[in-house]
Amino acid sequence: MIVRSVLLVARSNLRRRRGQTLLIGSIIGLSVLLFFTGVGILREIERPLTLMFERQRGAHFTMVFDARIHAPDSVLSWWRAQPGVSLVGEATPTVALMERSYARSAALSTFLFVTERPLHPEGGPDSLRILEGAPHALPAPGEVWIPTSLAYDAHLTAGDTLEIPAADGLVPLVVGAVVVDPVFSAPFNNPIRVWVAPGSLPSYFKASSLNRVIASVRLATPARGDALWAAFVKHLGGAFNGNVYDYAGVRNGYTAPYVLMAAMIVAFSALGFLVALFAIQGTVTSAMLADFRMIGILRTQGFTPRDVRRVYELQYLLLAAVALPIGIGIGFFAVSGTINLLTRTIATPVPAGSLVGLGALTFVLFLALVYVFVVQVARAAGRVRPADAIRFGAQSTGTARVGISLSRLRRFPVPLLLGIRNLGLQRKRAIFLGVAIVFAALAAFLAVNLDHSFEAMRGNLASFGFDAASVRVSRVGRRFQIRHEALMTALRERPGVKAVATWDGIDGNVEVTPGGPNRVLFGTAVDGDIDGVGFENIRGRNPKGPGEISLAVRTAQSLKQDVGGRVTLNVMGAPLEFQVVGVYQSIDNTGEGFRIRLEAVRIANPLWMPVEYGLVLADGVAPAPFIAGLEAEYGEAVDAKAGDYFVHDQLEAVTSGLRMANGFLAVVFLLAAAVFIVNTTLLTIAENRRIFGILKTAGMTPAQLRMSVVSGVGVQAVLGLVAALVVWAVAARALLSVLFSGVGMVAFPLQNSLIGMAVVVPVILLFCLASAWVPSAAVLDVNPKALIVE
Amino acid sequence: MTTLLTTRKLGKTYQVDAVPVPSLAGVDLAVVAGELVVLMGSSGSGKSTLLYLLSGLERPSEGEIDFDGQRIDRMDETELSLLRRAGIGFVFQAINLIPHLTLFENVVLPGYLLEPDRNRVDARARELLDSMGIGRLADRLPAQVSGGEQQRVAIARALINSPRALFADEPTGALNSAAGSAVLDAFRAINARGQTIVMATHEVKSACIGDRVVFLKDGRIEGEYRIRDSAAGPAEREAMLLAWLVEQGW
Ligand SMILES: Nc1ncnc2c1ncn2[C@@H]1O[C@H](COP(=O)(O)OP(=O)(O)OP(=O)(O)O)[C@@H](O)[C@H]1O
Ligand SMILES: [Mg+2]
Repeated sequence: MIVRSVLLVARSNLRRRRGQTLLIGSIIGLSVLLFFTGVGILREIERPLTLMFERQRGAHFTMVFDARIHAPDSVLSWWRAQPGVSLVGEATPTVALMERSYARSAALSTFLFVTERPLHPEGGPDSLRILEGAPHALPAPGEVWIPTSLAYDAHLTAGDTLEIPAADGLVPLVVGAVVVDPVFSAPFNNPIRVWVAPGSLPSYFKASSLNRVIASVRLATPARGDALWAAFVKHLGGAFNGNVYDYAGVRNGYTAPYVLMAAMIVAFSALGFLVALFAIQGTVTSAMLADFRMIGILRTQGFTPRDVRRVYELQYLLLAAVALPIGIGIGFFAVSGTINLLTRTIATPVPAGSLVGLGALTFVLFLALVYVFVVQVARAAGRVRPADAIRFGAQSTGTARVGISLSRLRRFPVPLLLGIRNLGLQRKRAIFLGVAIVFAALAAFLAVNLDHSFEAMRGNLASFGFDAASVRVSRVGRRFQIRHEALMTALRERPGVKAVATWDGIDGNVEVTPGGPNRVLFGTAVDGDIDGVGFENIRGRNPKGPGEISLAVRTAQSLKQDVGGRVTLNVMGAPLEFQVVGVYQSIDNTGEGFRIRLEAVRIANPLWMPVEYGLVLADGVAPAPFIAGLEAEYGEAVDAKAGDYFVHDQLEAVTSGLRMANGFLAVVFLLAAAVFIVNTTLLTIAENRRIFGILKTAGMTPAQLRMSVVSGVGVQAVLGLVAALVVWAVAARALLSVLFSGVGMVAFPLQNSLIGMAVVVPVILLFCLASAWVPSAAVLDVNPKALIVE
Repeated sequence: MTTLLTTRKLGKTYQVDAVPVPSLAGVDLAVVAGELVVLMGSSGSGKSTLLYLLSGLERPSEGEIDFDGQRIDRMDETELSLLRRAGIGFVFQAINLIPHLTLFENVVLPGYLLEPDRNRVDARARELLDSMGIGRLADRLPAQVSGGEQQRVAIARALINSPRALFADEPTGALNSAAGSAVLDAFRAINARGQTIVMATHEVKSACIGDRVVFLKDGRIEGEYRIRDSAAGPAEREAMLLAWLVEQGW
């Protein structure tokens, strides 16, 4: 019976304080939503990948090597003989294209391995799942099958034409199918593999260039991968000369940029949940004060202290039991939607079952946390002695001198004076509210300025690791070829041009640990005035001679290299020695890569020519007419574009995800601050009814009475905002750099938005004032009769 | 002799759970400037209600209140506040000082609301506290002085803005007789200096400091009694008032 009545009181309390209930419920719901989304992404992002990898018998090692260096038959038979290896594919002939391919007369940003489909792929590793195109077993002659990553990147569908640079110029191939390639559908892969009909390569390429093969190995026990590879290298006599793609790399392509984002979301959700707990504490305390008499009455009617506690415990358990499933439910869609978006190239949805378990676990965890916390807070409620509660309410009178002396504040208007004094009287509460406001302000600053920084990325590509060229020129024409040197000179001498440089993708092999797997690094070969087009280093400088290299920051880290060190890079089969002269940061290719001079590449391949050129125009020269003039002169031989088109879709996806997360966070924190303010305001009024009665009698107008409550919050909001601005100015750049180091930004180019701040600061202030103003109406209910009765 | 305060057919009906409870009806009262009017009547007769209406703390249900040429019954909440601030002082039975402010600070606070020159407020507060004989206690907290001293602080606070009228609802009700006498002396002294006072009380002794007694019964004025008319000593005056009150059915 008593349980029933406890439930009754708890429910009526929730309904009575509907506004607070809603606010706290929404913070709990939002924080669990963030938590579930973050953890869900962290835990589940790999699942579609492993699922696809199992279904399509993905290869754990994909080796591309020169058949003249390592005999394919001996390589394959070695692998077949190893325990723990489940499938070894055929060694299929492969051409690694060193020049750009074209689709819709635009150069592709990725390079291609053109390989033949094995005659009998059935049962071998890397089965292909055809998403578009006729479901033949094999590509037909004249056809090419491309992985989803390339199809989505270059907007190619079945039936489109892909032009590849073959022996006699560009050869058009019809896209016969868009497939999920277990290894090459991952984003950020470069080069990628495309398939042509068995035996068709010799019809496109000279026999002399047909020396490479691709061989795939699938393991039964992937955990033995490292050991097997080491044994393989040993078997070869100490070095594998070629490219190898392993499963870890494939996985990283999907997960690397998003793990950071998810981790941030989880961290934010933890903060949000803390805020929710504190809001509960404030609410329970204020509710207890307001309910002081009710508690007393309950006690006299036979409620034990435990029963009284249960009233409050149950209240918030009920609330959490409703809010948590809603948050988790929305999180469910957020997680599966996000992961499906991130892994759309493998077209394998997240299995719902695995999320259900995580959801249940999250629910139990959060409910338990709320319970444990509320039990602690409610303990105080049980301590109320019935007689005191009824006779005195919660009033306390003291002889201690507290607060700031009035004479120090006497210059202020009375409402403000009272507001400030109240802060001094309730120091703990004031500090707490102040911290909440600081958090809210910081979250809002983060949202606004990160957003602005990403916006500014377009005009500020150099500090994100891209070039700052205002015009990009590609040498497209193969029939009317302009040689690199000629074009370079022509561009440099063209009126209105301030700087010209070229940079083009190149891959190099580097041994991370002697004898370990070679790492394929994708870097750039540069020529011309690369300082002039904005390539920056965070340490050191750009390479100037063929023996110099600058490394991307994450590459430098993983190679344990820095300015002054030396690396050996295998470029197009030639091992070249470089001195490290610079370290740069780049969000491109998740902060991996290198920059070497064109002369260095020419040592390995004297015929190699870059395709892409970047121009910085002189001040006052508009890009559009310049581009028009260039195209009029060179016709089809060049393709010129304004420089900012380069920001990748995928990078945009990362930044837009972060923007959303930040916006979300700012809203959560502002909501939390609002709950604090509402609670504190109601609490202050409840505690000071008598004083407000006196002030009303003494002639304070309703507006002044409300202002005396609001002004305290206003002072706190101002102080909180100032503190937040200081923290932001001091720590923001460092904090962001730590957060973004995972994607290759160790010195985050933060661009504070002055306009954004000029809007956000007063908005937060007004929001805080409004959050206090609304509940401050409670002060108007104070009746002077309160002064006689007690 | 100018009339400071006039009511016509003043009435107040409270709603208790949608049931109208009349507490005051048809009250016609005039208070002359400088007068000390005492409200008497049994418990529940409507003394407090009338004081709240006259001082603008509550709104009448019917009738008119004219205060110094202004119609209180037509004022909105803000105008009432301004009137209370500048024109009216109020002293309650229970002592209502702000516990965390010193006596001095309690007195100056309403003054700061009205007077921009805070030095003048401070000076007047000291003067008032001195005149009440509690100047030396000015920097203590309310809990550090006696009840009678607290009530005198409350009177000083009510007078800080030199109100046209001072209302007091059983100002000695919570005090022992010695403390009560000191408070009554304070009222008598300020009245002697021309302060208009309307005071409700249960005590015949307190009532005797007044010029006249207005007797309330069931929310209506039953009769009036002029104290000054009887030219006798204090004890005799009390006896005569008591006799009149009993006659009224007190
Ligand atoms: N807020 C209220 N709601 C309902 N009725 C009220 C309210 N305030 C007063 N009353 C009623 O109005 C009548 C007059 O009350 P009032 O307080 O004015 O009496 P009083 O003469 O001051 O009594 P006492 O000598 O006990 O202080 C009483 O019957 C009382 O019950
Ligand atoms: Mg009364």
